[in-house]
Amino acid sequence: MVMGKNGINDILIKGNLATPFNDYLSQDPEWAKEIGDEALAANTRDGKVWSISDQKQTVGYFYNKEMFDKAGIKPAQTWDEFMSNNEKLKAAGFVPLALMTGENAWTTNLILASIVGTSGDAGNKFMNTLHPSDFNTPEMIGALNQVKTMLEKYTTKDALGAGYANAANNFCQAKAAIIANGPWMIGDFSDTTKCAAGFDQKVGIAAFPGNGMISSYEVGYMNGGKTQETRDAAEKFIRFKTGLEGQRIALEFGNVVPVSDQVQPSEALKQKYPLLVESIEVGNQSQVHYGSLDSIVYPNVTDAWKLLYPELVFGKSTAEEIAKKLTDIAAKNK
Amino acid sequence: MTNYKGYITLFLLPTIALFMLVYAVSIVILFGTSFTEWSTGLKPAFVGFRNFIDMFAKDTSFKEGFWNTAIWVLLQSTLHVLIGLVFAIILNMKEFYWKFARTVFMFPNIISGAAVGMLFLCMLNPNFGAVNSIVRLFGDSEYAQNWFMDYATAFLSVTMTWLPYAAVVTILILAEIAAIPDSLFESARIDGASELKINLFIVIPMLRNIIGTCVILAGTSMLQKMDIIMMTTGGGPGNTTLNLPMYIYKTAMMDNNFGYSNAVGVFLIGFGIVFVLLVRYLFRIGSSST
Repeated sequence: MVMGKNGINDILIKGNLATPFNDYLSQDPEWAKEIGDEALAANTRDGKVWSISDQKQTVGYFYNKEMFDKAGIKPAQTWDEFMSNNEKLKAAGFVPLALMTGENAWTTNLILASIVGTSGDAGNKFMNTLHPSDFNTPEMIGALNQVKTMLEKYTTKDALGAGYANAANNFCQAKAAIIANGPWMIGDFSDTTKCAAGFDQKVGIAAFPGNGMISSYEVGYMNGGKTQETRDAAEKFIRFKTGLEGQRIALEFGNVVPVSDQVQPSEALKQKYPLLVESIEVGNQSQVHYGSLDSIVYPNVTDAWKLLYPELVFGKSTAEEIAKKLTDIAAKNK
Repeated sequence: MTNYKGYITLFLLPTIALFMLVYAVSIVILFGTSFTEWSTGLKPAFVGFRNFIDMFAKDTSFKEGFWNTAIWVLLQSTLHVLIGLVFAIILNMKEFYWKFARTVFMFPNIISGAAVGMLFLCMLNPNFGAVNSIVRLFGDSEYAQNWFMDYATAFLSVTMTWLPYAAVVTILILAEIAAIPDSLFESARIDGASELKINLFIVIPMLRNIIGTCVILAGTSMLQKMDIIMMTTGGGPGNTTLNLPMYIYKTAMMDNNFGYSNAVGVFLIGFGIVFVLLVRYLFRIGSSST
């Protein structure tokens, strides 16, 4: 059993090292129903289901309601308003954004992806394309310029080179007003080892401007068994992990959004994490959907952001040059 | 004698077997696949010298990685060894602090590279790092230098995570100094030589072999350095702190281009061999110091 993230799925498929799930799914239509057509289609290539997803990524952004109130702002409807909100937060004495460019530049790239994904048909198509090869598009260049402004003016001083933990800490310690991230972070807001007591009461959730949300299915699990016996055993475990019970456990204990509508949060979970319910509602109301950059680009592109963002911010390369470099890096992938 | 030959063969066999299995096979595969296009899951396809031609003719990242590696090899085999040598000579005076100083100087060398990387990442953090906090204490309350990500400071910051910590050099040289006969020092003192003259004209010339060995050890350590770069800058900003080991890792694991990565590996091995031969020649390692 292999988690197919970060390009592992491509390697296994290309090397003929994985078994598609089509036969197993046709023998158990109930299991196929529990996963759902959309989630299955997301991991299907040339009619073959190569992996089974057990979770949906629905990502907007969290904001500090107290800071928003003091700055006199509400979640933005447009990207111009988003930038204006950043300016108002800064004027009110707050750092607007918890960004980071180290590791996979996760919180920064969620914003970059959303600017591109909500920029119109072409941008949305780009953000819904697996392994885009040409980053030299007006949407990407425009988005890179906007993110450059955010990194220069509206984020913490340690954002360049910082890891996810730094950005999460800056938001949880009320050192920044906004962090883009998924619902799995909700549990942290009431964890007093990470955030101040009562911090969860101060956090709101919003879709990105343009009513956009990152909404994609995880790559999930692949079957790499070499013999029929190990293939069957792996399938059995994956069936449990991705079935209704597995999804329910992941939701209740990991705040992970299930792939099936049949799995709903329990009353206890709703009481404990009202923000999770709100996040599911915001996700349902959002109208523009697209994948995260991590889920669509080649792994070597994901690895390149940490080197390219400093180039952009220190003026060593323009947004156009960065877009060209991303294109060149994607072409290097084997 | 015949009996000894049997024992020698017997004792050498495990080492030879391990070398063949672990290194020889790997090196043969490395050289062989450097002439192929090869990615995980696929069979290598012979492409002749294409990887090497691309490396020298087209690849600017390779060139930047090579220059950075060469500069670090040069710094480590000169400044680093010099620091270790000076410290050894000071410690050899056996003043009251020498055992304490030797132990403290050794600390950075017994901490793992990843931990050292994390330590410096925290110390040089623009927000809460000790270095910026000290600067803020002395005036500029807004001071927030991003040491590892600013183009002006990144290379120096990474270099400072290893350059000054020369305890291994110090210990090796101290051991060699201890082997110099006392009679030489006594004769020099009777002839009226000062401590400085003794160190300059007796001790250091007699350390030529061990200094050469230290230069090789320190220089070649830069041909393997990756952990701290990985933990701190990842080779950035841009390619400012990229070295060849980091580039090999990225080409293999991120680009999934093992053939090309192995070609860079072959070049790195060649570079290492040339460096070792050059140092051996310059220091006449192996010939008598007297």
